[in-house]
Amino acid sequence: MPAALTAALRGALVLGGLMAVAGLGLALVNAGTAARIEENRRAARQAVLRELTGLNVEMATHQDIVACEQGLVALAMVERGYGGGMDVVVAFRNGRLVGVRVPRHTETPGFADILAPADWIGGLGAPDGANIDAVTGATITSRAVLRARAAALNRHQEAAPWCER
Amino acid sequence: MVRTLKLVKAAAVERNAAWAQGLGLCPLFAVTTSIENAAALALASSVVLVGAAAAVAALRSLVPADVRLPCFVLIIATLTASVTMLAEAFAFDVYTQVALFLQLVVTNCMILGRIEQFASRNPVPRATLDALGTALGFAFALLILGAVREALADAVPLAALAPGGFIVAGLLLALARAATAWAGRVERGAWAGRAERGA
Repeated sequence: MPAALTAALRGALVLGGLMAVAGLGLALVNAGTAARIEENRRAARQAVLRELTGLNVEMATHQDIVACEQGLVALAMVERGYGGGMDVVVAFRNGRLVGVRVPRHTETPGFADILAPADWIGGLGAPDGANIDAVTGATITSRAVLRARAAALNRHQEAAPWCER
Repeated sequence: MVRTLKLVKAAAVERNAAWAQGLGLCPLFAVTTSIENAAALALASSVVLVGAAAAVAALRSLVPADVRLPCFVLIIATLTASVTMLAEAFAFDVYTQVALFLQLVVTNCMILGRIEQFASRNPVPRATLDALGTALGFAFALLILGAVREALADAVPLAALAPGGFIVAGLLLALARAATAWAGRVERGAWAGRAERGA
């Protein structure tokens, strides 16, 4: 075999072997942390729902409708923001939007300030908070939240008849 | 023991990634709004750097020169992804604050620089010590900047924002340069004195 081919083959073997080891390692870490991560995300969703509604409603996991009782509908959406996936909780009571919160995100620190309850996102529950296209300086982050709100509104219209009786 | 200390000190102080080499400054400005965030990023970067340095040093005779960079990046990326998952599982509050920059540890040029320049050419113990020193120096810079900005934030709100980060970091870098220059003059002065005494 020519020397160049041997060298290329050796490189491919080493890199391929390293990839296999890395993949195995990542799978192990994922298996060890996935349950805790899911529990952390659930607890964070639960906390924002309590903050939004004052109710301690048990939230189910792996569903978009996470609470559905006493005239309350809460939806947990997953949207793509600037830095990856973000959890968005949207709550309705008796057919009206109560508020929008983001319990987990990987947006750029600083730009993510609009997601603090006292900031922009806190006003989304108000009636005049409806007509916003985006927030200047955090366009992608704010659009992701608005997309989740729009999706939640649609889902809510389907779910409301049997949640709010 | 003395040689060990010298190696760590050279990596942490004289070749400090932040103030001597100007490397890794992006997270330095972005995340150092508080001590807690700075500490989280410092810890994550240290774990990745030391782990990657040890792994690369151990594999250095096995990895052919022409695929070494993909191999290094693969190792760094694997460690970064693992640290990110562990942080979300065991330090969720901090994770939500610095998540994006945790993922960006993989692109920190300070880490790849040290791996390529030192760890890939030295045995495991030396590579690990050098990485430890580099990480200590980087952590020190992050923590100082975080502490100053957190302390100033109440009185000068600008300090917590990005422009304030540049200003505070610029002042600290100038201070570090001045201190280094002063230390150098003292050392040279001491040498001159010894030469005069004929030592």
